[in-house]
Amino acid sequence: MKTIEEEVASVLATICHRDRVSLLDELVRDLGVDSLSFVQLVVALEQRTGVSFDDEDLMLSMYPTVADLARYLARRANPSEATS
Amino acid sequence: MLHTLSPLFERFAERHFAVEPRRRRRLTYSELAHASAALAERLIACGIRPGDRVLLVSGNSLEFVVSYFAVLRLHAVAVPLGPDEEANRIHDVIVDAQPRLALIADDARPYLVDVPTMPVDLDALASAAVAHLPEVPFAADEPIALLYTSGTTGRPKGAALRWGHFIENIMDYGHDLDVGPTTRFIVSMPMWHIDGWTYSTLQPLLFGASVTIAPLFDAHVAATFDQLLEPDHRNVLIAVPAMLSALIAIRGRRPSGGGQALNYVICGSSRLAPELQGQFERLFDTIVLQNYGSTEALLVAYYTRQIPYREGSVGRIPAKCRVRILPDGQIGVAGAYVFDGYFQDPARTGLAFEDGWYLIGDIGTVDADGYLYLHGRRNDMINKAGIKFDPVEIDEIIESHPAVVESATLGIDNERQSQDIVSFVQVCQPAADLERFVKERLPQVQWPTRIVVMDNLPRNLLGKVIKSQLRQMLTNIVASEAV
Repeated sequence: MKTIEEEVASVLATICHRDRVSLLDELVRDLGVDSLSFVQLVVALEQRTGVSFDDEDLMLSMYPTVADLARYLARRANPSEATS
Repeated sequence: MLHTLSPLFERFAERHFAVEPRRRRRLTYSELAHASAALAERLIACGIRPGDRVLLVSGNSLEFVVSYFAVLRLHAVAVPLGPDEEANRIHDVIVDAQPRLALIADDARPYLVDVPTMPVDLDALASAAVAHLPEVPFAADEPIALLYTSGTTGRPKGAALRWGHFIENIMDYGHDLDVGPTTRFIVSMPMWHIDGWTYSTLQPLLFGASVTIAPLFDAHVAATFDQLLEPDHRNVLIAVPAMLSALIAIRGRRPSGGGQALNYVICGSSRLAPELQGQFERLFDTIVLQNYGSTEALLVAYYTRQIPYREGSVGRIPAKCRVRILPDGQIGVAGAYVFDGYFQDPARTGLAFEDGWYLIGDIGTVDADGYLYLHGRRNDMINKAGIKFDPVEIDEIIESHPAVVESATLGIDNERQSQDIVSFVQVCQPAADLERFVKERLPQVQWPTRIVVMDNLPRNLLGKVIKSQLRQMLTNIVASEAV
């Protein structure tokens, strides 16, 4: 089974037409994510991971990098194990 | 024809004109009249006179609305710009429009260096005393806004919107749509473009209606869309197809709780797929009324509840608009609504018309009952969720890189009812920094989704790049990736 980081990278690779996506990639600058592809990304990530975003957290600007997005989903999946 | 604004402000006095839910702010017609008069007086004190251009730099906000009416009441000319425009574009607009001043809303970055600025503070305006602002009737040929669209030669061009044709257009459309005091427009499109501007200013004002101002459409707006619907109002969403597609996707995340009714949707900018339209109408229990037009032509075709839908048509041509299909298939537009030129630019104005017909840029046909059908763009124009531009603008930047021989950029339809931008680039040496180079020089909306670097572009015998072959190559690349 894929880790959340791997799921995020794989979904982004599909949506942004990339061969590979690194955790350090910036969503907007490196991958060209915009407000509309972010909607598609959110829906796909929720389906693939079973973890849902809080509506108030649906701001692209909250996730500068791929790692930030993965960290958010990991925390939502398992709030008690949240780390800084 | 309407010639003054005061009677409208007075007649609808205590009704809401605009609300901004995210900041929990609202303005009645009276408050708008007061704030815009107070700001107009400040502009007069700064030496602004009728006919002067004034930049409005603002995101979607009440400040934009107040600023717009202040400039209008002075008979000055508003030039709206978004808060995140590229420095080059701002510079070009300033050179072209020669504004005397820029009104800056709170959320706008203070990026203007070439023009004096004035902040717009709604609280200060609300408590300011207002002397009697003289009311001068509007002349039909008086410009009321310059809306800058991107130009194919790199320089933006300012379409001059004049009082007479603009008021006539929105008056006719509003009557046909039965807009009234309970109509609530929901605007999440950029207010510095034609649609966002129209439905957040003069269109509601003429009919005593009101507007809900949402931030620029994004995932958060989509997920909290139900909160934008006003109880006891006829809610009307102003949309483009990509927004409808996103709203459907977001709605699928979890069951919706019902809520307020969405009376209808006005959807423009590109052809709406019948499947998407049907799906949206079922899911949101509403009706989507397409329209079609441009900043320069205003409305060329539209539906209302009374105009029966015909699959594939963007709407019926209104009585005062004349459409002629030119010999090469292009749609030519004339009649009461069409603009008469770009600001101080006779050369590009001349190119925009052929024998008195404005060339809107699409290929089309008209049926016996006056319904208009679109069959593609004349010049491969890219349409990214309603923002339209010529791919040449992107190619010019890419070709300014020293390693690039030629670039051919295409808009490729994507699953979001928008387009991806793909640039095929012929290089004469490695260009590892090409992506960074391009992103530093283009606004984000024009960043290529992918850049395909090639040793040679496919060309015909005259050396012209064959775009149809590039499209086929891309289809093959995408298919091989999916395996």
